[in-house]
Amino acid sequence: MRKREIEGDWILGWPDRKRPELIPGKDAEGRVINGRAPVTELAGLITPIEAYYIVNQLEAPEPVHPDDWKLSVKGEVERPFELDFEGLMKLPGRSVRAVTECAGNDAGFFDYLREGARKPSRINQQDMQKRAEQRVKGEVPSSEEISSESTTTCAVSAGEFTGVPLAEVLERAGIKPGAVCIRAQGFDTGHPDTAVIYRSVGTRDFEIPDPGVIHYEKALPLEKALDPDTILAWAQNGEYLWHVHGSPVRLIVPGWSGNWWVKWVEEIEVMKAMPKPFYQTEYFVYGESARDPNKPPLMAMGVRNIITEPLDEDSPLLRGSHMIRGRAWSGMGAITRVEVSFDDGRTWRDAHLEEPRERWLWRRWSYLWEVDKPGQYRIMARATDETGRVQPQTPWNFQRKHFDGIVPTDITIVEG
Amino acid sequence: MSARGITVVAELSRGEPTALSRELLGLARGLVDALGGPLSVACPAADARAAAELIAYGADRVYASGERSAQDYDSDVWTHWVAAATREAKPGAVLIGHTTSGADLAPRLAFRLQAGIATGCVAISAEGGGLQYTRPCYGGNVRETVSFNTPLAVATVRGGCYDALARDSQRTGETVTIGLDPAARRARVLERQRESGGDVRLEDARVVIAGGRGLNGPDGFEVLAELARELQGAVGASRVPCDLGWCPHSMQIGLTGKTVTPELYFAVGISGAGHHMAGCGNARNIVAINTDADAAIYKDARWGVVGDYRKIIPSLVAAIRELRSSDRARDT
Amino acid sequence: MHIVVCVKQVPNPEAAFSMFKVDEAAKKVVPASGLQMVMSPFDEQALEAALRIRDAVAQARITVMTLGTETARAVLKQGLAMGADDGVLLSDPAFQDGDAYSTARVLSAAIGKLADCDLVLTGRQAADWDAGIVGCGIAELMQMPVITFARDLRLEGSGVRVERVVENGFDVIEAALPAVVTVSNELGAARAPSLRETMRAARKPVTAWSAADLGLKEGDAGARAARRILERLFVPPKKGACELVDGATPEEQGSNLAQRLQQAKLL
Repeated sequence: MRKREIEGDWILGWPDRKRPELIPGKDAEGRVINGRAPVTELAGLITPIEAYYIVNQLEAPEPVHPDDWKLSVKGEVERPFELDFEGLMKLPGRSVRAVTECAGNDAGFFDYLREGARKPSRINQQDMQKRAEQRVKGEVPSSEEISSESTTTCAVSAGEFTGVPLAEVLERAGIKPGAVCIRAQGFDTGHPDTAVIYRSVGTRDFEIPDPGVIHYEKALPLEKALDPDTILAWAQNGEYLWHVHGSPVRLIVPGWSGNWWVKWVEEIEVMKAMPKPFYQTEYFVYGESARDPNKPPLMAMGVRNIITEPLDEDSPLLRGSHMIRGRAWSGMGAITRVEVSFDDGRTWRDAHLEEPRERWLWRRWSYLWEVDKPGQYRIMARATDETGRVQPQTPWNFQRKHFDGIVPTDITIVEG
Repeated sequence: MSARGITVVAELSRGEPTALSRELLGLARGLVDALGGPLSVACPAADARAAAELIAYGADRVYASGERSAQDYDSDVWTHWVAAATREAKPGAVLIGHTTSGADLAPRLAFRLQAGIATGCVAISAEGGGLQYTRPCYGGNVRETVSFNTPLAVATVRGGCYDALARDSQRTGETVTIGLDPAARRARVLERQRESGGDVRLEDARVVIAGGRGLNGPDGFEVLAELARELQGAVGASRVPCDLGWCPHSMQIGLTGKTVTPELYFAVGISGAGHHMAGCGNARNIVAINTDADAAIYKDARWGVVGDYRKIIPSLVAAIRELRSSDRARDT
Repeated sequence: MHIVVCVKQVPNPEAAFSMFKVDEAAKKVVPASGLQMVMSPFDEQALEAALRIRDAVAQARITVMTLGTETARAVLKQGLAMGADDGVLLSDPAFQDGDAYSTARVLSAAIGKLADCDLVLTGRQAADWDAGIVGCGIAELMQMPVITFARDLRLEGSGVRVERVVENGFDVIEAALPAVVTVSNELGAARAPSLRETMRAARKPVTAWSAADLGLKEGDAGARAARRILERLFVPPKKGACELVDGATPEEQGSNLAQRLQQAKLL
């Protein structure tokens, strides 16, 4: 067959369906520095690597070859040491399947539910290239851009990560008593991008202190650090980590938002007092406002749920049977129940939850909806996790993080 | 520049001035006839016989060192000696053959004497009281013509661009001895390895058969060798087979490698890129054999055959053999 | 052991000549806008020669140096990705529009500024102007011995041992360091950049020097220092019509060709 433009893709020489693509933003040299995942186009559970979302707070660093890489383990430990790539892979390993989600994913729905603001669309994606260019030039977006835009649905993905539990590495080092947290540092550096924070908050009327050029670092509380599913991963979806996803090694913190999943890890420091990294004191914090004296860092996510079918609220459906579909996941454990409502939450019916039930991976669910009468309908769905938490768990916060509210889908049913 | 004359640096092969040296004398003679001044030759290894030959081919004066050790090229010693001879002769230009020796000597000499330098020239002409030098560049695809703002210029000249004068044993000239200075030597030649070589040197052959990438393998050279045997020719190559290891580098013809000027040149499986043509462009007749009808070589060829050389050449050889034997039969 | 490799950025010499235009009025060769700029292949081989010395000797620092505009940083990056340790870019409007002489002057000043250079390597000629002058020029200006057309070079004792290509073989020549060696294609293929070196290259230092940094004044470099005057730049016309020798079979083509050659009295 002659190779010409088709609505599908040519895959390995054969005509095939179009593959879902990352929506990328590139730097001046054409290198991808951010990207959003086409989540609503996924057919199964694991997001292909080339579609996996990418967010960087600082500059994407120049790659380091695994043969040149070392992990430094230090701080409040009996035996500080350095590990090279081969050494890390020799430790007893583990694979973890988990959802990675950006803390700001679906933030726009906060204002929709709270203030009746315009409903963000799960279909129309942001202009990632424009964001990338602004970042590269160090530009701050206008107030209008800041208040109107938000990351919707596309900053979440799920993968299978293979690596070594952080606990194994720490055991080799021997944690001293009194340790409270593990500081993980990446070899990426840069000036924090204030535009990101202003966009998250939706206004520009506050000061953000300038820490200068910093490394990306997060101080993970000890209990979560020692969870067996908290791993230092060298592989994602069956292949060695890509540079854009944090090669050679990335910290995986299942259930906690993406900002905890430190990429390009180069140093692990055990500490006996919680330090104040920029990205858990100025950003990625709760609070009523920028001036709120109490701004605890974000940690485990709430109970999340999205309806993926029907998606386009502007397209009416015919009366009859329709499969409502969605995905649910939680920051604290497996999803155990999903229910749907067609009467604004007065009554709820159980949806069908697909196997497998896994702690950190989302679960697909479906509900066969039989609708006879034409008219406007509001479909709601809520999820429950294994600890008993039900959506929503996260109250509004000034940075609009960890949104997990119930977002209804409004559908028009018409005569056939 | 005018009336100062020209100095030609000559090389010897088996005691005789090389064909290229004689061509340079022919060129230089024409230039001094236009611009005035003497034509001197600097040839460190020339003995009385060689000097007489150089004079017979056009030199007015020959500088020699009188030492046989000079016959093998030594960069430091020759640069020092030719500089001394040039300072004596005070010409407007020094012309050197574009050989591995000449291409080494010329830039060193030019810098040593604060002179301009043009390498690989294919034409030198007298213009407005001075000299202009034309040389290939951009892989042999472009020509530049240059002149210099210095009182002295040094140029290397490719073979086959000019004709030697007819040998005239009645010509007279003088010989001047300038001693070598062995102290000038900083790089030492430890040994010289030479290939035994075929019967005919590429540079001297009347017929050259050259193979390129289109031979599709080293055994292609055996097919060419058959034709070479029949025509008493030499086998050469473009750069690709040499870099691929199909044949020794000494067979390379081109911008780097040898310049050949045969009466008949077969380009077999050669595309005709500029850097190859720079080495064979002055062949009198070029035959191109290639499977690609659009190859650039056909623009430079007198005859072109589009087809598989493995079938064409054996038939060509057989036909030549026939024609020659019937010629002989007819002539007896 | 400090080796400096002088490299030049040229339009890709493998590109078809149809990708170039010669502007006779401006006396410039203009490559097509999409044409790739690359490191001149003989210079790649000079760098390969330096890398082979380091493979054998281990303690060698290799600096890759180029005279050019900002775009020439790309060849420094390529050199670093092949394995050089650091790069020097000699970039200044005062350096432009020179000739081989002025280029050799600037390179010599820069090599002199590095002060501890033991060996200067460069390709035997650049793939654009094909002149083959600068290497010897540097040696003369810095009063170093020079050995041209190397197909092999190694360190031996306190000097360098070179196999120099001549018409029908090679000479083995040795010289004390510091020295200049120009490298020919007989050395063999240059190595492709490895993934690891490509990643490391981004972190290797590149210094840029201007005329002022080198202590060069007006008239020391570029067009003002040049000795060569470009009178004309042109594409030589092709010879003439080629007669295609036909035949029903290749064998027939062969015999027809023989006939032509005989008629032309070339046999």
